[in-house]
Amino acid sequence: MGVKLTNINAAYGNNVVLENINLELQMGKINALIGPCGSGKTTLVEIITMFQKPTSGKVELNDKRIGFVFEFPDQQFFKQSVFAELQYGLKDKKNVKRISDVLKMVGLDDSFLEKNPHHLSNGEKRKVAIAAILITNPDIIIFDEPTVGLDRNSKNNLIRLMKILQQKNKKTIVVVSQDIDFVYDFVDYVYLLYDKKLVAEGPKLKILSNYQKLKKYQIIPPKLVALTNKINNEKNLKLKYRDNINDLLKDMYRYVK
Amino acid sequence: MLNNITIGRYYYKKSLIHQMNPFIKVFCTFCYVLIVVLFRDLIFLLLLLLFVVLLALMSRIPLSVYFQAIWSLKYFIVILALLSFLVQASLLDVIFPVFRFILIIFYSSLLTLTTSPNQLAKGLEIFMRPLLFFKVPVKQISLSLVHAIRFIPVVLEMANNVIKAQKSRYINEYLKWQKRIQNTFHIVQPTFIKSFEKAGTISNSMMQRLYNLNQSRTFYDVVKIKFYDIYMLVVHVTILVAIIYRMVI
Amino acid sequence: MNEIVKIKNLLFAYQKNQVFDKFNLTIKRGSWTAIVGPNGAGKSTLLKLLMGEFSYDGTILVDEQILVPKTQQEYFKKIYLLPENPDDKFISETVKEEIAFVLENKRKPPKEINEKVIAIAKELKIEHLLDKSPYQLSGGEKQIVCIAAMLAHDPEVVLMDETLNRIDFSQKENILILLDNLRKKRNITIITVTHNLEEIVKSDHIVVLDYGKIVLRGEPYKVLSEEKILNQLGVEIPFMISLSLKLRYYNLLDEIELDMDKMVRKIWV
Repeated sequence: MGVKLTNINAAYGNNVVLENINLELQMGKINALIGPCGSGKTTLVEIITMFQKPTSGKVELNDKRIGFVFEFPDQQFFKQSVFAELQYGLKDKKNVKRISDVLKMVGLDDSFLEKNPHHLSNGEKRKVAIAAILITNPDIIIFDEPTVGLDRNSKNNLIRLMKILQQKNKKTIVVVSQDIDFVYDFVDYVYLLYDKKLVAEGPKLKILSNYQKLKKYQIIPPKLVALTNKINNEKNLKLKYRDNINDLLKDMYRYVK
Repeated sequence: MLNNITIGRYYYKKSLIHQMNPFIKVFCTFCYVLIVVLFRDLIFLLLLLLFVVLLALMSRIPLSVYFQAIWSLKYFIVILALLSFLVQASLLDVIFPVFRFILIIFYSSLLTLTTSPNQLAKGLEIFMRPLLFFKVPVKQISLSLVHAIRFIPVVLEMANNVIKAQKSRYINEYLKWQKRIQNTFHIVQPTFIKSFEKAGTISNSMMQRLYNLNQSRTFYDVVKIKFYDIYMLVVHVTILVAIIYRMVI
Repeated sequence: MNEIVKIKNLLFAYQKNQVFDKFNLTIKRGSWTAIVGPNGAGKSTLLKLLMGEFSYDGTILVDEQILVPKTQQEYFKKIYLLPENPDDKFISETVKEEIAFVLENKRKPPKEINEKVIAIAKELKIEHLLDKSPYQLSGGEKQIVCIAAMLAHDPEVVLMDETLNRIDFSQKENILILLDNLRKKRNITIITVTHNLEEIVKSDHIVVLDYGKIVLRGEPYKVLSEEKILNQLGVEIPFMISLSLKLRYYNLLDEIELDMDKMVRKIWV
C-alpha cells in the first residue's frame, strides 16, 4: 500500500494548474516525473508532499513518510552549521553517530560538520541537503531537479546513491527532472506530465523510446534514442533501444562485422 | 501557509487608478486616513467602506487580493480588538477601532497595489517636501519607506521557505503540541537571517548597476497630472474639509 | 586595449581554503570564453571576484580599470553579470523600470531614457512585457529581461554564472543566438561559467579549471577531445564529441562530427 492520488485538481484562483490526476506511485522503484515547463510538475510534487492542498481529490499516503529535496539547496537550509542542520531532523538529538553515518552516505566527511551550509560549493550544498532529508528516514524520497549545476562525477555519485537507497535501503525514489538523458540512464518507471494532465506512464524504455509521443509532448528525446532512431531510418536497420552508449556501440559493431 | 504575496507587492492591471499620479494617490491616502480617524459615525464609516470598495473595483484588481491583504493581518486585528475591549469595556466601542483599522489597511493596499515602489517613492518624496523646510531628510526617509514596503513580500517569502524546509524534516510528528507551538517561533531567527542576506544581495546588485545613495538620479517615468487626478483630489479634500467644518461647528 | 580582462597573481582564500594561488588569466576583447571544471574548482568564485564581492590580493583589471572605492562607478560601468537566479537581481516591480534603472543612475534625461527603453524592448521583442512584473514571467522571459537591463547598462564584458541552467531547451537556443548576435554587433566580451554543453560548444575559447588552476585551455574541439583529462576531472564531454571519439576508436568514423544527421550518414561509408 503506497502513495495514491485520486482525481486531483489544483488551481490558483482562476488559473488551473492540474487536471484530474490519477496516480499510483511505483513503490520500491526509481521513478521519474518528466514534463515541459509549465506542465504542473512542481505543483504535483507539492501536493504529494502535502505542502499544498489540492482544490479537489484525494491524497493517500498510507503512513508513508516523504522526504523532499528542494531544487535550490539554499532554501532547504535554515541553520548556521551542517551539524545543526542535520541534527534538526533527528528524533534522538544525541545520536551523533547517525549524523556522521548519513554524511558518509552522501560522500562527505566529519570536517563538514562545523561548516556553514550556505558557504559550501554548489555540489557540497546538494549533498548536505540530501543528507538532511535522509536523516529523517523517509520511505519515499523526492528529488527536485537534482542535477542542475552538477559535474559529471557528482551526477554519477548521485546515481550511485539513489541506487543504493533503492536496492539496499528499500526506499522509493522519485526524480523530477528536465535532464532527460540523466533520467534515461537509470530510472525504472516514468510519469509524463503535459499541459496539466498525466498523459503517459510506464517502464522507462517503453515511454522514452517512443519518439513520436515524446515529440508530441514537447520532450526532447534522449540522445541515445534519437541516435538509434536515425541510424535505423538511414541504414534500414532494427537496432534495439539501449540506455547505455557502450551497449549500443556493441550492437552497431556487430552489424558492421 | 503564508501565501501573502499581496502586501506591498505591485499588482499590474490597466486601470485608471494605476495610471494616476503617485503624489495625488499619496495625498488622497493621507486625506482618507484623516477622514477615517476623525469621524465617529458608524453609518458614515460604512459609506467610506463603500467608497473604498468602489475604488478597489475600479482598480480592476480582484477583491480577493484586497481581502487577503486584510486577512493576513488578522492577528493584529484580534490584538487590537482585545486591547480596545480592555480599555473601553464595551463591545460596541471595540467595533470602531477595528473598523477604522480595516478601512485604513484597505485603502493603503489600494495605494501599494496600484503604485510601483519607484513611483511610490517619488510620490512620498514630493508629499514630504514641505518637511524639507525643517531640515528633515525627506529623500532618505521616502526611500527607506519604499524599501521597507518592498521588503515585506521578501520577508514573507523567506518565512515561507523556512516553514517548508522545517516541514520537510518531519519532526512535528513525534512532538507534543507544546513543542510544536515552540517550533513555530523557530522560524523567526532563520527568516531574519535570510532576509538580511537577501537585503545584502539586492544592495550589492544595485551597486553593481551603478546605484549611488549619495548621488542624485533622474526619474524617467513622470506621470502627468490629468483630469482624473484633480477630480479625486477635489473629492477627498472636500470630504475632509466638510468633516472638519462640521466638527468645529 | 585588446586584452579586456587581465588577472595577475590573484591570491584568494575562503574559509581556510586557498582557492586561488598566484592565478593568471587574460581574456581577449570580443571573445566568448567558457570556464568549465568540476564542482568546487573556483569558477563561480572567479566571477564573484570580478564583480567585487570579495576582497583579494593581486590585480584584476577590466579594460585597464581597477576596482577601488574611488573608481567604483567607472569599474562597474564596464562589467555586468547575468545571474543563475534572475529573482536575485530584480529591483523593480515593472520590466520597464528594471531596464531604466541603470539609466536613471547614470542621470540621463527622462526623454532619452524613455526612448532607450522602448528601443531595447523592440530589439528583444519584449514590448508586451514592459508593464508586467518581472517576478511573474517565465524563466526564459526573466533572463531576456536581464539581458535587456544589460543592454541598457552597455558594458564591455558580460559574465554568465550558470545562467541558462533552468531554461527550456528551445529558449536556451534563442538566448544563445541573441547573445552571439549582440556580441558581434557591439563587440562585447562574454565569459561564462557553465556545465551546459550547448553553451560550451558556442564559445571560441575554453578554460578548464581545477582547484583554482588552469588545467587546459584553447579551442573548444581541441580541449573537449582531451578525453582522459576531462573524464578524470569529471567535466562532461558533449555527447556528439564523446560519440565521435568512440566511433573513431571502432574505426566507424574518421573525424569529430557535431551534427547527428550528418554523422549518421557518414558512419560505415
